[in-house]
Amino acid sequence: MISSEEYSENMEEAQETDISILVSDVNNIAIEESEVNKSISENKPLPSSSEQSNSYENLFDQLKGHNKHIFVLSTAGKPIYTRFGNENQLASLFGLMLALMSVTQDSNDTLQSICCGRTRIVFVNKDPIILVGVSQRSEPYDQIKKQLIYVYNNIISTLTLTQLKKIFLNRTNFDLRRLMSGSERLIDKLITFTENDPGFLLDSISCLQMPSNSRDKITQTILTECSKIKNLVFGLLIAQKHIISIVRMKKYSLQVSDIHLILNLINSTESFKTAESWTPICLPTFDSSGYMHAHISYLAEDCQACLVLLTIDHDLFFTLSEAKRKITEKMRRNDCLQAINDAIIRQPLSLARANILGLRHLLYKIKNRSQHWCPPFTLPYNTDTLQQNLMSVYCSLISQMNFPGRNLKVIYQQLTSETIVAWATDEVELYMCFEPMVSKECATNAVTKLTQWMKKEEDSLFIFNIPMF
Amino acid sequence: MPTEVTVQNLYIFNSGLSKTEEDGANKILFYYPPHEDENKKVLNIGHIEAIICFTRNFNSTESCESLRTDKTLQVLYNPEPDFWMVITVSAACKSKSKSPESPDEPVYCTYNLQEPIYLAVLKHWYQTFQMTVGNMTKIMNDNDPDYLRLMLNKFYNKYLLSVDLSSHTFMDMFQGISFLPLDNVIHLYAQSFLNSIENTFQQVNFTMLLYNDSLVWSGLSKRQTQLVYSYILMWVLPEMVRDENIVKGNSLQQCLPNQLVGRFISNVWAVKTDDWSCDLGKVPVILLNDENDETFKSYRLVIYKAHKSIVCMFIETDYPLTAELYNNLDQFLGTKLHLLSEKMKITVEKALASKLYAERPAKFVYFNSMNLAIKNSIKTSNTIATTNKPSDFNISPESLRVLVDISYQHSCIQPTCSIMIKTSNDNWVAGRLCNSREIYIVLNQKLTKLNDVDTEIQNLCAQELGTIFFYD
Amino acid sequence: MKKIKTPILAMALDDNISDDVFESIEEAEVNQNTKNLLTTDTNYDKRPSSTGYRDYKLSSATRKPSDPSLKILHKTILLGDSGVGKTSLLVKFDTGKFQTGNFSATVGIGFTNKIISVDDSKVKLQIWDTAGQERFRSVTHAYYRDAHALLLLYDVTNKISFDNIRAWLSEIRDYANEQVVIMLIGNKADCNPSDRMVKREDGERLAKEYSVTFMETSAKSGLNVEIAFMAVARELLFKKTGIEKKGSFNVQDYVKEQTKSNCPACSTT
Repeated sequence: MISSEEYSENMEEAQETDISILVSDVNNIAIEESEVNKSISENKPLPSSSEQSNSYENLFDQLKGHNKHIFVLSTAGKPIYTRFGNENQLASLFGLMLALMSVTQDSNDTLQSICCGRTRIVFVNKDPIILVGVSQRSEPYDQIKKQLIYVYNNIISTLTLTQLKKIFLNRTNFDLRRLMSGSERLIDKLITFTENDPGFLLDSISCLQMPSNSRDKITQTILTECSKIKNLVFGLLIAQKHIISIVRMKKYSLQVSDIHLILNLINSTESFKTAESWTPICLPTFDSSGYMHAHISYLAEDCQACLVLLTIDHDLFFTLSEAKRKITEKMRRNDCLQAINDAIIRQPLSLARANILGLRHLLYKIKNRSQHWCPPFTLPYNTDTLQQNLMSVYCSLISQMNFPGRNLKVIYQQLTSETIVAWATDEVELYMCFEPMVSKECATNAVTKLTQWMKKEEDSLFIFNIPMF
Repeated sequence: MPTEVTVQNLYIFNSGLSKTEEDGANKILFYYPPHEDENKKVLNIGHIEAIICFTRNFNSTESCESLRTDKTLQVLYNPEPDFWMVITVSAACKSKSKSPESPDEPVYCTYNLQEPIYLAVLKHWYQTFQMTVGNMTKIMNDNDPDYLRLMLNKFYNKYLLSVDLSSHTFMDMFQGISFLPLDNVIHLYAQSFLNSIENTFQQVNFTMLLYNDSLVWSGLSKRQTQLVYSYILMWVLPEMVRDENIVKGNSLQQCLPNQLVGRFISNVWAVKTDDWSCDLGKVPVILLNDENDETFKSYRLVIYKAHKSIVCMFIETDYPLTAELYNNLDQFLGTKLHLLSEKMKITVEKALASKLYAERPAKFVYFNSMNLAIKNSIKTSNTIATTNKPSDFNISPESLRVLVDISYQHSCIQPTCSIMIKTSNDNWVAGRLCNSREIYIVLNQKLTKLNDVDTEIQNLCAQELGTIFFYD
Repeated sequence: MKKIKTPILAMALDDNISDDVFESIEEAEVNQNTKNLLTTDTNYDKRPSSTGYRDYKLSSATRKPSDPSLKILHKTILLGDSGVGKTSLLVKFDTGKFQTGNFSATVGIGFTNKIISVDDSKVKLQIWDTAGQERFRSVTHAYYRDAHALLLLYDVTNKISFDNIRAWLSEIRDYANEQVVIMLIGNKADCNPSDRMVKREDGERLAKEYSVTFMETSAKSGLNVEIAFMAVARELLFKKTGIEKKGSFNVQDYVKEQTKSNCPACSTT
């Protein structure tokens, strides 16, 4: 019989072999650096031992084939994550990334990015881990960097920064994949989220559209139950990608990037749908040093909204389970479940209702609430590719608007297939997409008209009441 | 917050020149600052090589362009196979509220450094080198790497002395030519004058005429014209002003005592020169090639000045330059050029007088990539700005950076027809980009409606560019 | 903003789940029961899932609230390496469905209540489905101590998951109650013979060595799924009542009996 000490001894042994692999990795790096000259003059990809060259060539063709790569490695050069391919196959590439980072580090500087035609490579050093993003579509650097920060936050949310640092302090060569197993999928999904969701671009959340009195009733129900529970910090009610309601403990507030992580966790975890769940989660922006505990459950079989209750008390499962039951019950009694179901199935508010000449689509963000409205895509954006293109147009527009050292207020840009306008005031940010030949007068009027129209609609589109307990 | 730009280093290397780890220094062809530690030089180059190698894994068709760190921007240019030029710049923001703990630590604002500016600068440097010295691969093959090192050092040390590397802005992205606005009659007159030089003197292959710093006519191709034009503006005109103050004692003047109306410009700096007749002075040798021909032919560049005009004559190196030729040229050119120049002066002044108008709170740059014509009110030309007082507002560094963004976005990311941007200080920065013509405008007016901005831009274009620019 | 400092989840040995919490769950059931109109013909009852995702259909919902044995709640934990099929086994037992494709690792702990009819009595199982990943170990340890039964799973197509069983057993020894009922389960027994990495005999031998019950199951085919949970329920019921009844129940014999009658082909391999 093996004691638990022996168990961890075994782990220790597994670790030793890992280290020896790494030592050989380091040697490989050294070899590669000396071969750099040769490969530069020969105009070939990263060199490798001759017998492997074929598979390497395939591998690097693969690398070029994807629009966006994300790599994560430890500051000791251990692969942690790659979006495509296999970490072990890419060991030499990881080695080179580390070498590039450390050379810059030696001169008390930090490598940020490389530009090579349409290819953009961004490095983020979050000792003890390094993140590298590669985009093949001339994406703005700040967007790629933000994606890397999101991936980093996701790692922190599963491990906490304290634990991450402790692990690498004790064993610099630790293979973090062991602790990350199962969460790679979350990272994959998170990256897809960052590529498609306007919330990521705008640093904001999207709310489920519903009459404000229904929303208030729901919020009040959750608040009443939650306020009774000591150590409960946040409560969120989520319908797919949209937020229905948020309540919070006095003095604490939930940051957008943390909400995005929670949304991603819920929307990518099937097992929450099969059982009421209880899991530790670290919210990196709120507190990267420790875990919170999340009670996650769908309200009822006939109401597919997900309730997330976050506490700092790891013994609160049954209390929260009970609170949830009461919330559901109360919500059923006062027709809140029905209101949620109605809101979920309702045709989302269409931009056509605003009746603005030449306006095809828009993103509307209320700055101080960090909430946005993205109306459904209509013609001519009726295919995924066209929507994706529109998103990249927004992406570059938003990035231009918020570039450090600029602080722009208005951008009017006539492109070949559309005319886009970014308009920022102290309260809102507007990103509009018009017909390509729209007149400037028309565009100016659209801003005014839209602002007025939104005043009427915003009550149902945004959450204005985030009560505290 | 003002940004202080400093050039950390500038180097040229060829990876093929080093075969082993030990002889890494062989790769270096040129390095500024020259007193940098040898190991540091090799290390910096090695780092860039690794970067180039790394990026090739993801993109093997385009070459690596730039690299950013917290403190620096490095821009790379790969003009010939295996040859890389690299410039490293850093930017420190002078913040008013320096942190008391570390008052000496500068605040870096690398985001204010823009790749396109430095890439344009590197390209221009290389092209000028190619014109005045030659193709790097050829020089190395014809001679040896050491000779190339010598040439590069000679060229760049002079170059670095004469340009303020840190002051490059939006304007440096356009290697354009300022044309002298002339009516057809006088333009034909000038053209026939230049033809007569080429006809009279068989030795003269091409000619080019400038009035002050504006181009009147050129027999060279578009690209060659631009390079020679910028060479004249950069090396000849400033030296000329200096020269005029020390006319006496000039060996050239002694040799040609009859030079009364006009005079030859001597002592022009160049890497390659030809000793012309005794010790009378040096004539720059320039390499020119056809647009679609890779082979270069060398010419001596003889420059003659009368009144406010300059004639550049390109003479094949096979022909000897003699005192007799110079005398003949002087006699032929002197009076004629002086007369032409005076005529041009009158037309230019007349044109400017008729164009006196109420000053607009706006600045603009117009560039036509078809003929490389540039017209602007940011960096005012001597000729154009004589009568008009330039608007007294300065374009903010922020607006200049937005202009660079517009131009880069248009050419490299997504083609834009028209763009208008309101900056933090409520200025409007606009661009109209159609076909090969580009116009960039900064309006110092508080306008709120897009159509008002548009009207303002249209008026400005109508006034400054007349019928050349069409849009909407 | 001042931040709340939360300690890293240590082993919560001071687990203070009190009886009144269970009591209130009991009440909840009664309340829910009145609303629940679903009918069923299966032999076990079930509290409506508190999650109730749309695709997650109930198989039953009627019960006799007066049944005194329902007062006793048995805590059962599913353990084992990541990917061995803990959630699939539970979902198959709970809903009768096998989740094809769409593998997603369990995050944290999933909680399901299930009522099983054993002869005339009803046994209420509170089943904790744990995440197999190492990083959740510290969280799950906290729940070992007052577990009544542990279903320890490995994957017969994955040798490592079997090799790790010893480590799992020693962890159980460290954190769980001595009286805990342990069942070793080799899952994915429906696999292609060429994919099988762990022989049935190896599983049996190991179970014998540690004196635990053993069986092979398949969440996909349904093989032994119900029997596994039934066996646990019987054993737990016996432990509670057996002392009074002075009867004898041997779970290992029961399993042998049941598995033979169910799938003779498998039990002989």
